[in-house]
Amino acid sequence: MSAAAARPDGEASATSAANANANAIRAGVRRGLIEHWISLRTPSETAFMVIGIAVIGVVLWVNRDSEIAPGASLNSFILPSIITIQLLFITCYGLATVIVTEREDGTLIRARSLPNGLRAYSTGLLTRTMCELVEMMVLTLVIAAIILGSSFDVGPAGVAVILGMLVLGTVALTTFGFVLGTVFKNPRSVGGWGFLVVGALAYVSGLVQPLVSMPAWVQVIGQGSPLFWIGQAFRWAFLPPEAGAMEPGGDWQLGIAFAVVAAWAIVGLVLAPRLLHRVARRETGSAIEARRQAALQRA
Amino acid sequence: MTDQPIVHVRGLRMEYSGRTVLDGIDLRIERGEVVALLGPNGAGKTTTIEILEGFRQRAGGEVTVLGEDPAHAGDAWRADVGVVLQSWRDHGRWRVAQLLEQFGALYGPYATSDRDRPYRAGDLLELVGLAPHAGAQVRTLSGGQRRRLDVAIGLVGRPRLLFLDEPTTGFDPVARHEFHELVHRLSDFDDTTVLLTTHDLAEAEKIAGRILILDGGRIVADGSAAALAREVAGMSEITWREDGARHVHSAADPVPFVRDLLARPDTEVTELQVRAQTLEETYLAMVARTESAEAVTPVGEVEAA
Repeated sequence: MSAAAARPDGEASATSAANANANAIRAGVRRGLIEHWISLRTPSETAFMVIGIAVIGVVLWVNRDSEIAPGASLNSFILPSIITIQLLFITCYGLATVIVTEREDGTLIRARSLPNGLRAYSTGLLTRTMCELVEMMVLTLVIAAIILGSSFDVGPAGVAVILGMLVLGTVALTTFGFVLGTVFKNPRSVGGWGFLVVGALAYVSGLVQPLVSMPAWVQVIGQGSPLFWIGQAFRWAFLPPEAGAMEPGGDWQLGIAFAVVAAWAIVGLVLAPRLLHRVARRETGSAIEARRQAALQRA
Repeated sequence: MTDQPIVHVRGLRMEYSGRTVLDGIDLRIERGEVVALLGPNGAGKTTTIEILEGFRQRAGGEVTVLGEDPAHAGDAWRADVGVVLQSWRDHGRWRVAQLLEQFGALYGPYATSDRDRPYRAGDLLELVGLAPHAGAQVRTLSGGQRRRLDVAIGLVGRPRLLFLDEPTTGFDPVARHEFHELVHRLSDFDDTTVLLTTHDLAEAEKIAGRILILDGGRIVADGSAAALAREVAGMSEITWREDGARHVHSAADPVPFVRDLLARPDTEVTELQVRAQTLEETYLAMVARTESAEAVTPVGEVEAA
């Protein structure tokens, strides 16, 4: 008997494979929602989010009367940076931490032992990340609207640009979260090095102080980073048109912003699934057991 | 799947950084068999099982599992195979039944006329004795309960072939006994083929129809527990007390020896016992035989205190 005889014929098996894929994606979404719900019910993780929101509220409150330029409040510069950094932390840093941790505790190899398990697993991760992102964004914008009051002025075009860049930026950064998560081996190294790298990247990308106020070589690096362009699109939405003068080149470059972030998104989309499969393939039960023993020795 | 063996391995080789771990393994497992893989630590048991599971690339040899090469098999093949690895700490914050339902959902599209997939979570928890813990968080389970959950997850797709890597580590005697019953039920009613590794020789003897002993990267013995005992000849143990001293003797066929012993004039034999060889002794003899690279030292009459 051949293996093929036990399976449906070609056409039927193509349909059933598509069926199995759709089924795995449904299971993945359910998985992501359950994990998100579990995370919401974990005080340490909720506290992290509440503290983050509180800090944002305080920063916006303290700076509520400062102006970066006549007619442009400092908060309209700070808010786009906050949103960009949140996007970076949730999609990239947070996701990478989860992947590295779950690689160590066997979740990834468990996924591999199930039919379409990796597809369900990565769909679950994306779902969970999206939930966190939406919650964080909504909370931040509501708080900003309350504190900023009338100076929180975003037109319909601004809303469209914000939403568009959120989607595109999420794709770009999430895929790099997958990449980071598969490159680092140890949860602690993501916590340490990953945090430093992400922080440095935010600084170099003009999210802490305007890029034009930094040395020329930093500006070159910054303009290669998707973060700078995500930030610029958000600034465009929140700041008055004249504030474009504070951007490198002296004006807004929305077209380039979307193009650069889209390019990063494509690179990530190509790389991430390959890396995830590669890492999952290398992972074995005995490797997990060996690490468990090593962890016990350390403890 | 009539005459095709479930597992067919020829000349399997594996090396880690130049060190040979598996040195030409040949193995054939038929449908419905329960096979135990025994061997000292580092003998290559887990490596063998990981290659058959498709989790590890082999260095050489032919491997066919359920008609496919596990290194390249797809999701439909995956749905036919259940895997219980040595250690798993994942999903600690999930609830037991919730986790089982989550994984079971992936098997739905692979249901066939002879295999209803997935197993219902409630039935499965009943089967492994975790029904009272269905709503518990996974991390609150004891070691043995966690292991039974791992076994349940391995079974949730109603696999044709189940791999168990040291499944009963951390089980108490009752849980162990129930697990043995479970394996019997699987092979009898569900026609599931089982390959397990274990350190517990009594367990292997109890649940496996066939035992393979792996040592130094080779299979040094293959057969039922009784057949293996016959292979290591001369090993029934006779003990008795004679003139106040205890004596031990090993013999393939104890009957003539005992007859002679009792027929000796002028000796008073008391506390006579004849004990058939246990699998443990067979195992130790076989492993010793390959390790010393010479025949088993002939065991004669020994004076014991």
